[in-house]
Amino acid sequence: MFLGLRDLRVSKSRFVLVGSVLALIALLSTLLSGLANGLVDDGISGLRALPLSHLVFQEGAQNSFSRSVLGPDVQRTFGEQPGVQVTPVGMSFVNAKTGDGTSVDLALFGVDPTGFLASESAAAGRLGERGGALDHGLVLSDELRDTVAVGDQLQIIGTEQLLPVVGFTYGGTYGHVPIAYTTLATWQELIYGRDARGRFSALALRVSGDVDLAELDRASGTETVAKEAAYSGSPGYSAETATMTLIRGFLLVISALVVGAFFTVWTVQRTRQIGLLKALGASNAYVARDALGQLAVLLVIAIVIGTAVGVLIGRFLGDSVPFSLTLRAVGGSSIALAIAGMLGSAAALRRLTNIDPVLTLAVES
Amino acid sequence: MTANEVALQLDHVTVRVRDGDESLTILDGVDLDARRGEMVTVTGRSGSGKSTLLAVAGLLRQPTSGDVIIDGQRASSLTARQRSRVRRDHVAFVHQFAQLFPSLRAIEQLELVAHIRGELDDRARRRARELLGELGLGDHLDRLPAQLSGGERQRVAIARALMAHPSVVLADEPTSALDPARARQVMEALADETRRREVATIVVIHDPTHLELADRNLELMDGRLHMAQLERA
Ligand SMILES: Nc1ncnc2c1ncn2[C@@H]1O[C@H](COP(=O)(O)OP(=O)(O)O)[C@@H](O)[C@H]1O
Ligand SMILES: [Mg+2]
Repeated sequence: MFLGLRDLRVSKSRFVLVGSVLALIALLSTLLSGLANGLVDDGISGLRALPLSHLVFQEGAQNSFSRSVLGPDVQRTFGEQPGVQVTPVGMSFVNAKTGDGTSVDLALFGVDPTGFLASESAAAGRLGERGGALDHGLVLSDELRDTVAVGDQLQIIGTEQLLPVVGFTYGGTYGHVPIAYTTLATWQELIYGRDARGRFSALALRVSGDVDLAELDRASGTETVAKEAAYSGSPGYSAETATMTLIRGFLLVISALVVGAFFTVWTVQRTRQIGLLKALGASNAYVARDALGQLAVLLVIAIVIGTAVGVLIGRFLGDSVPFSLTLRAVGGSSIALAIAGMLGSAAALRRLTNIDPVLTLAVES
Repeated sequence: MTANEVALQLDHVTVRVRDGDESLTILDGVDLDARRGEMVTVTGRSGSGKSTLLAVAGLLRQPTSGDVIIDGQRASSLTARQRSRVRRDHVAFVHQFAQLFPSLRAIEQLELVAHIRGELDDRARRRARELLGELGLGDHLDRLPAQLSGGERQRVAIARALMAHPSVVLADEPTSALDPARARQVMEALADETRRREVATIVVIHDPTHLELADRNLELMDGRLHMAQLERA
């Protein structure tokens, strides 16, 4: 890259424009990654935090708690399996009112105070600690600290129930709604009144070893999915991820096209220089290495700058926008952009190798 | 490799091109020998085929018929890849208007030639400095082309041509953009280096000046080479 690097250094201004466009694409891509991640977090962070490996839903429920109703028989079938720990979970989206009339949306998770979710998750554990004395209590996720205080009574709309807030925890959100934990019994009473008959939404599993879950599903008319697969049941999750993936896909295509177009024009502009390189004895491989190396340096610089600015902007976005970036997401989207750019340039490589050094002996007119 | 050895030989080279429906003969059975340490000028009207002659001699272009022999290797018996190799290892060009790389300093124009060959080491760097010094550019090693005069640029191009130890140097109107005084300096530099480095040099020039600096003067007319008509002392 003897010539390519010196070209970059000496005639910086030539590369500023396309570099800026590439940096902007990287910036946009970083912001989108952050938003996509943020949205995903907002959709499933509560579920992700639960210490379970699988969820059992009613057949046809499409991983949605709201569409799934299971009974004690399922709990028994799965519970009898060696290597499987089970605990029932009730989940409903509810609307609650504070004493001063503020209304809050809750993803209300009812958990068994004696089950593994309660003993392992700090949140539900707090319900268990009280030994069922505060059977009617709510543990809310941190997001609600500004709205509600410990000791407040929340009225669940549509019922006569008043539930006291007994504490806060990092509970996260599910379906973009803050999570509230209560006991399974309270949840059943809220949803089914006195006629719950042990019903719940889904069965949380912790599976160790080789268990034929499919066989159990067939026996009990259920669908068991790994935790990550259950994310898709969160309201809006599939549509959001599909949209984000589509937009990011477009960005990759745009990046490839921009780089490809730039590289083509740049190659045409440098025709004489490249002919000269070949007249001095350079092979096609040498010329291609030099040009692609130059492009790669430009791409990396632009992407690093764009990504850094994107990360900075994300820092200052505040809480109004769900934004979250992991190193993996940032790295992944940058590398994908760089690869797309290099692929775009590959299309113009032919033009480079076709340049004939004989043109250096022709008079410029 | 000794002086007087024939480094370049054109053997009945003919170049014909299609020009619409007609066939145009640019070179018509040209014969030419050039020995190491010898400078030969080729003059001729614009469009007479001088650049074409150099392109064929330098294996950048294949003749319609006839052959080019460089250091004993017959171009017609070589594959395209082998021809590129012979060109790389034996032939160097000095182009019209120098054609330097705008982003490279004078010294780097020469180092690039070594880099292309994977031979850019301390020895190559020393040779580059030495060559530029020989051509009176010792003080201008770090200048970009834009910071050099036309004559200086052309002398950098001559130094660059010598960088890879060629046996044949082909110069295409190296003085055409220069005033007479600078043109003379460039021609003198070419003649000096031709002898010092024992290369066979063909210089194409548009106006027949400073011809006395060369060993032989030829003129290209109607596709053939003739002894140039000039008043020599
Ligand atoms: N590939 C080609 N096709 C058609 N005409 C050509 C081609 N190459 C050269 N010519 C013609 O041959 C003539 C000689 O060109 P050139 O060698 O560049 O002359 P000079 O260098 O003496 O000015 C010109 O008329 C040019 O247009
Ligand atoms: Mg010419």
